[in-house]
Amino acid sequence: MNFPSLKVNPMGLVAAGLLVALAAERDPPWWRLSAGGLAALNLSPFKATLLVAGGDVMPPIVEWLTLGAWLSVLVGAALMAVGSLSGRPWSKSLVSFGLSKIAWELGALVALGALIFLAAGPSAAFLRQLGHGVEVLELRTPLLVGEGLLKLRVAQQVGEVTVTIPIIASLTDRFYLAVASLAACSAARAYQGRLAKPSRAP
Amino acid sequence: MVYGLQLHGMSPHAYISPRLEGALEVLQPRVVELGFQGLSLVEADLGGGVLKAELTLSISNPTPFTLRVEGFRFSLFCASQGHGQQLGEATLKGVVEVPPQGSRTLTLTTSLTPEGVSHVASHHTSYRVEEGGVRMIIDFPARLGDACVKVSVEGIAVELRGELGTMPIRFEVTRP
Repeated sequence: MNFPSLKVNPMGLVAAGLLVALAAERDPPWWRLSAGGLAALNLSPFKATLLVAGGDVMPPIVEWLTLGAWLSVLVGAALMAVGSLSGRPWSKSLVSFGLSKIAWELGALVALGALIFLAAGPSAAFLRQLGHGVEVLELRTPLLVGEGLLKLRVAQQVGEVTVTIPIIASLTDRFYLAVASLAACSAARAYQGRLAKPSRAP
Repeated sequence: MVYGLQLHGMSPHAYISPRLEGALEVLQPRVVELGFQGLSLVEADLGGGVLKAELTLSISNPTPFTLRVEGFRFSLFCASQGHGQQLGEATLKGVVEVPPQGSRTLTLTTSLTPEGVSHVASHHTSYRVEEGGVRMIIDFPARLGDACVKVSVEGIAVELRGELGTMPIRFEVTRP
């Protein structure tokens, strides 16, 4: 009997394992942004909640969008595993699918964090336009990680009220697991490119 | 996505709008009320320039959050016509936590400066001879100004500065 030779991409299997480990739990956030204890944004491509006074105010559509993102990573992990067990040219597409999903989702999360950081300036201008005697004394937002501050002053008839809201942003262990998954997927894709080179005709 | 829309009655508005109902209910503005409970004399030695009292206020918290009163101080000014001198100040004795929908008592230590005691002794103190001894009556209207209240709610610090109004201050002490 003539068995076809089995070409295995071990890096692809590791990447698939990391993707499964990442998607095993949908709820843990990758990034947290809190404003005092009153509001908190828990964000991951798999689930996003915006807790205000203990209640989630996130629009329902976000739940379905993130469900789709979660399922696509699970499918990506499965295709990564299948592609890593073959040396055929089409296996590269399977591995690429897993890589593209985690790359897009991680990139989107970082982009959203940067967008919130960049939107801080216009937000301060918007608060000033609100009027009602509200004055923004200080607004510092962290870029993905760190501490910031929103300090407002509200003029009253016989005095003033100053409100100081601490803003804290942090990346969780899941984010670093996602980065490790992305690195493994990238390495797997590069290796798969060599593994699945079309054999030259003699 | 379509299934999710169907679950929301095929209403795109309900599907993409933030669910603010519960949050708006919780975050409705509510007024924290302060009420006068009492003013008791702790030490009165006008000759020695000492006049100390304890002011107790009630504070009610109608919010669903624990209110932490971290500081409360104000200056006392004489509110008599043509006076206006600063007499002393009052400061909160310790941090007070007011539970949600609850109330607590704030105790402020009020002490007059030697200059304030001197002003009170010369302008607002009268003496009456009675059977048991001499009754000393301290009576003046005080303006509570330069007030600063520091409160924190869920990690958010709120500082209020302003005037608290005027209140009559009256002590009667009988000495043999």
